[in-house]
Amino acid sequence: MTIFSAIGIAGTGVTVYRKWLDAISDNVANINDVVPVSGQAFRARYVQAQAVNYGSGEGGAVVAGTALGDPKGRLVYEPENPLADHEGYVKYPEIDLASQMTQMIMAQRAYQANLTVVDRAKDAYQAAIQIGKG
Amino acid sequence: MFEDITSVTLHGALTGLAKRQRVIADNIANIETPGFLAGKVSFEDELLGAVQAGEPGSARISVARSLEPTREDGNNVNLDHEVLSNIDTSLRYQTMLRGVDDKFGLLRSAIRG
Amino acid sequence: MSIEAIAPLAAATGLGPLAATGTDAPAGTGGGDFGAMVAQGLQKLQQVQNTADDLAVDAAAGRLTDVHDYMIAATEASLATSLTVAVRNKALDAFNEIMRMQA
Repeated sequence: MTIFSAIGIAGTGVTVYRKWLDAISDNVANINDVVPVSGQAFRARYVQAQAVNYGSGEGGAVVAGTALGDPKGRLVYEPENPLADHEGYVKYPEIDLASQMTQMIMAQRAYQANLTVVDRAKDAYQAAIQIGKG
Repeated sequence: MFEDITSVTLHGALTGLAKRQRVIADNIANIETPGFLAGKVSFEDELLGAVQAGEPGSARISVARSLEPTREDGNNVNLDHEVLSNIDTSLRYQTMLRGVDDKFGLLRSAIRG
Repeated sequence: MSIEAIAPLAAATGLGPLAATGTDAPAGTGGGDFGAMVAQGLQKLQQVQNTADDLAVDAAAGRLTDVHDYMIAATEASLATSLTVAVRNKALDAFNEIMRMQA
């Protein structure tokens, strides 16, 4: 627990949004993973955030778990691909780049917002230390 | 004169917090070092126990290696955690300084008369 | 015209003849209320300083949730000390003043 609990709570938020950014970057890095039609496509990672001690107003957030996306993927006609089946299809993961980019912006904004909370809490605390000084 | 429980405790806390600052700096400097495990300084519980036993000067500062899961290169330093811990330690240090300042101030105001 | 005798001032001002009372004892000689007040003040000061000390130990051990509690207690202790010192000084001055009068 941090000395000013607002800093600790914002800290939990920072961790959640960093994990979200990690998941998004993982999805985007694997967006063109090709597998044969018989195999499972790369499954996108979704981070599940949950409130800690909901109702107390002082719990923060935590990553409750990761969900994996659909392994079905989408079939693309690429006959010259070495992994193509006899009909010339290969499987790509079902990840929408535009949606991942949007999520990345949201995660980044939330990350920065939490850091701002930490900053302001630090300023407030330093002002409290000056009570009665001098 | 400055051997009362509060002054010794505040001094002990200042030493512990300074050690923690150095270990945090060490962790952040080694954030890309393969196989590096983050260091954690703990002294608060020991200090509390020592105060309750009446011997605040006997508390020891201990540095342990973090057992958090490591990344692929064997490094387990968590940057978010280190940055926030840095801010927290700095604020605690300022609070302790203010405490020591006030204790000396009481004596000073009695001397000045 | 009749001249009246000079009447004592007492009738005009309402003051009685000087009586020996203990209620106007000079400050610092422990007379009555003031001494009790000083003792009470010192006790309160000790209490306030102890509160500030306890909160300081809590802050050192990392158990303090609200730092402003500690800051306010520390300020109280420091101001109470200054106040006690000031009262002592004034009492001492008054005592010296009176001792000078009697000399």
